[in-house]
Amino acid sequence: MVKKGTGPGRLYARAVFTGYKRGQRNQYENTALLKIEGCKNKDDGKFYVGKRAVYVYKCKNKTSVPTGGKSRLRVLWGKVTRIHGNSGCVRAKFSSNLPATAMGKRIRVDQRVDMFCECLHVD
Amino acid sequence: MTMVETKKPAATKKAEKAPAKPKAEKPKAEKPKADAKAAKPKVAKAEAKDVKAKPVKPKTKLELLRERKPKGTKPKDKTKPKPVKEKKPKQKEPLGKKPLKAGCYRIWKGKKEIIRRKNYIVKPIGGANNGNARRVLQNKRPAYYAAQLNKKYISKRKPKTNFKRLRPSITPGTVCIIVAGVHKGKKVVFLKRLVSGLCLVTGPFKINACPLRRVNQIYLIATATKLDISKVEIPKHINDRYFRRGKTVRSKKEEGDIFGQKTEKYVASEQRKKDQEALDAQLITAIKEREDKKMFFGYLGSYFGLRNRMYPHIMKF
Repeated sequence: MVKKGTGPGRLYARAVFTGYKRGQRNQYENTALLKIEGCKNKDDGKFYVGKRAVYVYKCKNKTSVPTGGKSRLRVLWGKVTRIHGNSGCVRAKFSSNLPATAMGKRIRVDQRVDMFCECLHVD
Repeated sequence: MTMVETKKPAATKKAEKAPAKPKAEKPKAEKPKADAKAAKPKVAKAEAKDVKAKPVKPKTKLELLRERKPKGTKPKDKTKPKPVKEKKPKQKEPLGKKPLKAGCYRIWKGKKEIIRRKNYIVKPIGGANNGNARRVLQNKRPAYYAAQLNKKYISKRKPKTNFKRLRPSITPGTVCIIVAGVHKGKKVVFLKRLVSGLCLVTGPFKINACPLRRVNQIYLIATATKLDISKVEIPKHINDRYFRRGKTVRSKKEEGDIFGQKTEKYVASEQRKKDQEALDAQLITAIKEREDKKMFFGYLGSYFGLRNRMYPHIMKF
């Protein structure tokens, strides 16, 4: 009954990598700051804490993909760790630090909760 | 022997002279009691006179103890019957005659017989000068003796969340959205939670090609839509074992490259197909009972996707 043409829509929330955690003159690249679309205050941001974050990017060489085959797409996995500030920004930590070229680029915030995270989202 | 003799006369004496006033010739055991008795009337007299009462000597602990159980002077109450202990008949096996299993031997600790098992097997070996046989241990000694015993290894990668907790929004019959995986975006019906903690879920297959499947609850977004599956019977054989992946048996005499990818395409077993059809039929009858069945069919058949201005943190699923 499912039409073959239509696939699933976007299942992730859109976010932007705004920069690293920083003071005025020093920055700490291990933590990234994310601005999630539609997230305007602390309560909104709380929803995303614990969710998985993904940075997707393309490269020249093809590498193997877990589902089989090869692809030019590459991925950095991470998770939203906590809220940052009062306006809905959020901090995230990735498996390896985000490259600076990712600033201003799209980060996907998955609906899945990181399994090894303390807080399981309470419905 | 002498002790026995003295006991008897003491007992008889006491029987005779208990009511009468005590005399000094009595054995020592009786003295404190005698003293007590002597003291009592004195105290009574003193109290009666009320003037110049002689102070009563406080009894020492020893005296008190003696009072309670004067040795050898306790009269045997012959009126009470002795409690008779029932002797349980011991099943005495004839010693040394119990048939031994292979590899067992018996040893004696006094009269007690202990049967032990030999830890080794005698295996014949070849070679002229090798002594024909070797003892091969069955339970081999450990290759490593830890310096610290009982060291608790804490698994570092342990899920910290309360494992048994299922999100309260996920109840049997809830329509859930699968968030990732092969079936991402599909709306499926949650059937029940399996022992392993995974959620049993089905499309139904006829509607959206999602089969009976195990899914972790973190892959599910529960919607408010609930289907009444109280009349749906989920067969008991559908459990974690049912979904266990089969081990791919690699024959040792396989020709060609061992590392050559030979991933066989998954084909659903007949059992799975049967169970799927049976369960689907039940679910579809449950859907047909609803008023909004047409929409419901369409709902389950469609994919979920976020659009512009749709924010998960605001949305009520």
